[in-house]
Amino acid sequence: MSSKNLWTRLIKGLLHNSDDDTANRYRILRRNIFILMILITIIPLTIMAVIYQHEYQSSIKKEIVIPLQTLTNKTKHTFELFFEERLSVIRFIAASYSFEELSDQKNLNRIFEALMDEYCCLVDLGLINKKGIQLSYSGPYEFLGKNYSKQSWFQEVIVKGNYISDVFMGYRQFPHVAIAVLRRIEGGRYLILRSTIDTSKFDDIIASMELDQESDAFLINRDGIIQTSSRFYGKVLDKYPVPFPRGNYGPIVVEETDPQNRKMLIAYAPLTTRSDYIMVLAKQRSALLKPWYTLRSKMLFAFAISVVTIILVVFKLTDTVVKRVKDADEKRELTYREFQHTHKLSSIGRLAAGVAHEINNPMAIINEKAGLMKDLVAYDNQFQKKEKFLGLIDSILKSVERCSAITHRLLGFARRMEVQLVELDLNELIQETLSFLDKEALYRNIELILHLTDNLPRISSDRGQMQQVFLNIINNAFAAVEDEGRITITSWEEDSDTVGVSIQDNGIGMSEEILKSIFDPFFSTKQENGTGLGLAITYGIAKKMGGDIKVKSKQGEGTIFTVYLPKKAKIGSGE
Amino acid sequence: MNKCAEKEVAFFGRITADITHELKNVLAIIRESSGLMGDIIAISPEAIIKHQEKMQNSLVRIKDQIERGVELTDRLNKFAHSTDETMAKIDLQETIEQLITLAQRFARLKHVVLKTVPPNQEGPPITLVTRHIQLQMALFASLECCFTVMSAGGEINIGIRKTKGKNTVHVVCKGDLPSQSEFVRNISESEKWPVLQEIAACLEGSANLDETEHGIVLRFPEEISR
Amino acid sequence: MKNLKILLVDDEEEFVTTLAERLELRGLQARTALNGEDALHMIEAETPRIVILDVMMPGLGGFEVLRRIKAQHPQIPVILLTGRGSEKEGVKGMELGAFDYLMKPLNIEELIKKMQEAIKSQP
Repeated sequence: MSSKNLWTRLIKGLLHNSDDDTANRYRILRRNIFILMILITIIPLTIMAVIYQHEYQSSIKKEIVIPLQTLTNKTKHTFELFFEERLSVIRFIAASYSFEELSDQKNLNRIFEALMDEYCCLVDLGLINKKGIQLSYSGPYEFLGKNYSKQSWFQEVIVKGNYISDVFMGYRQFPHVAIAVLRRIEGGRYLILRSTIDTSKFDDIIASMELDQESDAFLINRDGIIQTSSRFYGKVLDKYPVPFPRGNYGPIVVEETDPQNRKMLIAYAPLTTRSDYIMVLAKQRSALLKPWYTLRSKMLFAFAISVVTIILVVFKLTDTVVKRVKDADEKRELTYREFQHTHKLSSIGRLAAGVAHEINNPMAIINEKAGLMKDLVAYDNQFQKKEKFLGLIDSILKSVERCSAITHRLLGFARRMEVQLVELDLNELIQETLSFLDKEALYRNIELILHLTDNLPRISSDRGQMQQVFLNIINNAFAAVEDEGRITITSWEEDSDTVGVSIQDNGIGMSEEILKSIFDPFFSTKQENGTGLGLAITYGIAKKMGGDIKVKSKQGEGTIFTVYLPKKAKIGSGE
Repeated sequence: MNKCAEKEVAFFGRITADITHELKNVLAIIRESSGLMGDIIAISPEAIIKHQEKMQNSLVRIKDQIERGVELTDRLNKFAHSTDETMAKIDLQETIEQLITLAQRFARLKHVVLKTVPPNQEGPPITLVTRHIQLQMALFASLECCFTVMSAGGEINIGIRKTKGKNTVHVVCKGDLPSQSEFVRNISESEKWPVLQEIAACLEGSANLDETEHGIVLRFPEEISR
Repeated sequence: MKNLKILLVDDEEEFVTTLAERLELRGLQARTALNGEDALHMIEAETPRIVILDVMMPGLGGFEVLRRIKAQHPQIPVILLTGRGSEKEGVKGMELGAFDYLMKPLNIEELIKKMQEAIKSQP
């Protein structure tokens, strides 16, 4: 079955339930329409809402993430620049002065003073030899003569030529960073210049980020030791509690839940120059995402309102529509009943009128016979005409019998006008109906052929309505045939539950088009007369009795109506 | 509306049955008259002369009955045609006259005479657009109400009058009747009174007891809604 | 009006033969036909002075017979016999050329009067 077919069937199934009893029918229709409309409106709405939410979420995230990333990156660059500057000046000093010049304390002091004027944050400056001994020192600490050979930085600077330390607590418990450069000079000697940097500048740099209350920016080293004080995560040299990405990478932003159970967006930007530092900027997701959350709750609110509005409107609409349908149905039912009734009455009326018409002839005969007798007595005094008179009287009596039979038929018919279920012999009913049309058949030379099965099982039905059905169809057959046409009526037992009657004529027949609409109300092929309801009502009666009517016709050849009736009637709402 | 419709069929059946019964009577008389003549003839040709008068009487009777039969079938025919359309434009006076002929037999059984006098007004006949059979039922039910209250030898007159610009049908009883108030009570309590009310409702009209005369006043709209 | 040649056409044999007898008693010559074809044949064989025709007949219906008579023998007046409550048929018949119509059951005096009028109108 094609999908279109399936779809049509589904919709039809939802909206069409003619076999349900009335009260249920409208309840079910209402429910079905309601569900259908709700689905049609809410599903797309939901899909749209979900898609928008998704899109917004990712775009907002981008809007949030990117500035974060950028800021972190910028700050990282600032730090890098800072370090590079300091390193650069120390390198310059190392390159410009000789070992001897630098090992001279007074010289070193002079150089250092000049340095301090130009560059901020340098705390000291010192020369260290290959053996790791501090040969000269300018600064506040007592480093002169100190041996660094065992320290890891010394090893590192020997290998790498540059060194930037992690933050350490210097003397006086302030955080410091040490930088060192190495220059190889003739004779295989080393010239190592070391300087300590005061990290207060770090805080300034971070302060210049102009962060808000929900943000926290700081440096950590690759081992996760906090290098500048963090608002959320600890002081200098505390362990950074959040797992962070290792290795080398560009600036990235990750989502993490911190130990205080806050959802954070954390940007990491490892400094690329020679140090172990990673710039960290942590911001509370809720704060960052506040605009998103506001938007989302607004959207949710709007969605909820929409859904509620839709449901209310659909409910009201469905109610109104179904009520209209119900009203229309009821009106139609009423009008139909009215027409059905009129049809019934008028067919009875027609029969009665037909009877009145029929009685005429026999009465005319009686009249003439009696008149003749009178004449004979008046004109011809030969009362020997005994046989003659007796003959005349006999004729009168015969005519009286004829009238009697006709009126008896009418009486029987008049008596049976109430609806009641009786055991009907269809053959007998058909023949009775035909008796009303005898004269017409005679006048028009219409051949009536009856193949009525003997012992046709009786059916339980309403006599009046069955009469209406057959009278209507047989009347139509009479109308369809020309004079000298033929009408064949057959009755048989169709199956164990059903009886069949067919009425076939060799009249004008019907085209395919007409055939399709033949049972439609108000469809008529008679130009002036006829409401077009005869067959519609007939069909309705047959259906109501639990039976069916089928038609076959060929234009120019004839028509056959076949009526199927159940042996046990299933009468719906009574007439 | 369905209730109205159901009763129409019953009414039709009743009237038709009634006419048919009368026809049967007609036929019976013809039968008897012919039988009598047959008997006389059977005796001898001379007997015919001897009983000439009886013979002639029989013939006259037959002729009369044929006339009657013809009249009855006319009535049946007209009545049958009132079912052609449920709603029709009908001539009120004609319907009254028709109904009276239809009800004659019933009236005769109660020893009451039915009469109608056409309204003495010039101009077109008074017509109503209404349910033809129901209207006849209304008139008939009014008669039935009166029958239950009247004694033998009375007379009922059905006529159209114009009251306050509206046409009304007055069913007036004459004869040996109780006082106005008792008459009113009797009719209101009669079996057919609620039936009449129902029918009047189906016609969107009303049936009330006359305040001045012994009778029933029927009011119907000129055109009833479908 | 004596010896007036009348043709009676009606499918009810009892009716038409009795009527013929009554007319004969009154000195008129009445022949009968029980259907349209026979009636037309009889008209060809011997032209009647007047035709009394029943409209309700099987086979060749009353109106068709009327048409043919009027076509072939327009000088023969035709009086139609109709059923009661069938004014329309009478009117239609007159439009088709019938002189007049009477309803069954007949009053024989009326019939004779009508025939006299018809004869007078068509000398």
